[in-house]
Amino acid sequence: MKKLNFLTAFIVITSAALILNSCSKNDSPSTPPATLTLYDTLGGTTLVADAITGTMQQQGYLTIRNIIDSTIFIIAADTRINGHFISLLGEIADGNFIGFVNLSDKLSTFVAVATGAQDYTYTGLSMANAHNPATNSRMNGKATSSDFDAFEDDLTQGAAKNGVQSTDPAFIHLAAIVESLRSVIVQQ
Amino acid sequence: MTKKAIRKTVIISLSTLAFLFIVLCVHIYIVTRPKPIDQYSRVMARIDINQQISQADADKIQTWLYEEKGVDHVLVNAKTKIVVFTFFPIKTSGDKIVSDFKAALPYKNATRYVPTEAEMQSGCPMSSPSTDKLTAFIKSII
Repeated sequence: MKKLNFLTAFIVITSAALILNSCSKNDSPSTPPATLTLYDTLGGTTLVADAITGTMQQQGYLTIRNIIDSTIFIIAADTRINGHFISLLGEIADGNFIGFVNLSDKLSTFVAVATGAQDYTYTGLSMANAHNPATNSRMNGKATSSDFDAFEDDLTQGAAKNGVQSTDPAFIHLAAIVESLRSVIVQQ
Repeated sequence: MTKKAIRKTVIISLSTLAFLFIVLCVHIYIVTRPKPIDQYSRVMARIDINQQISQADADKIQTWLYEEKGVDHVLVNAKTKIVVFTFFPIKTSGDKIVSDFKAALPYKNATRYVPTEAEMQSGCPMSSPSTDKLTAFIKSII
């Protein structure tokens, strides 16, 4: 009986810990990697004060978020693709501020994870499902190759606004990651 | 294993699952509950100028907006005649900024673009409300 109680307690505690940890991010930086990832070259896990949220964030994440935020501004004023990002301009839905902050957070986290961040978890849809109107009601039509070209163009401008030129090795690496997603995002 | 022990194991397992489900519900509520506006809340807004503007005009618009109280960041695209800015809703509102903008600058046809509810529901692939069916289900009942 004692064995059974111990087993039950173990299952309860372990499961609770797993559930509570599933959504956590950047609580504590992971140990430095043996080989440098793109995320490390963008600033890595060094914790710095984030004036925008009033929290501590990793420098790599902040570098990425600055580029993403600039890109979002460019996209929002770009008539080639801003029709795909209308909810950026939403103020409140279901009592929550959505739109800009939401997109900024999700895109930044996605890129951070794609570049090698260990302490962030992207919880959105897969790129294939996110861009398929059949699996994501928020996708108002399939993205075309020219939409993707426009996105890459805006990303390049967003990076340049943050002093990262298109010839920078880090940007070339990042652009290659983005380009590798073309086949799953462009679905027509 | 006796019938009694099996029964006890089943009860403990079910109780554990029920407990974990409650913990999950509480966790999802805490993580996804509406957050009140605070000093860090930022909102994006867009003004359609609806008339031709030069780069010099765009620069003037940008300068003017940066001087408005509560404005965070501004981008003016002279080519598409669109102004995009973020602001702190604790300090001002999008409507006030646009109203002041039209009163102060010679762009009387300028309009604030506000998406409809239908557009909001289909407006961004990355802003999918919930990606996890279990999370979506639990959110629907809490």
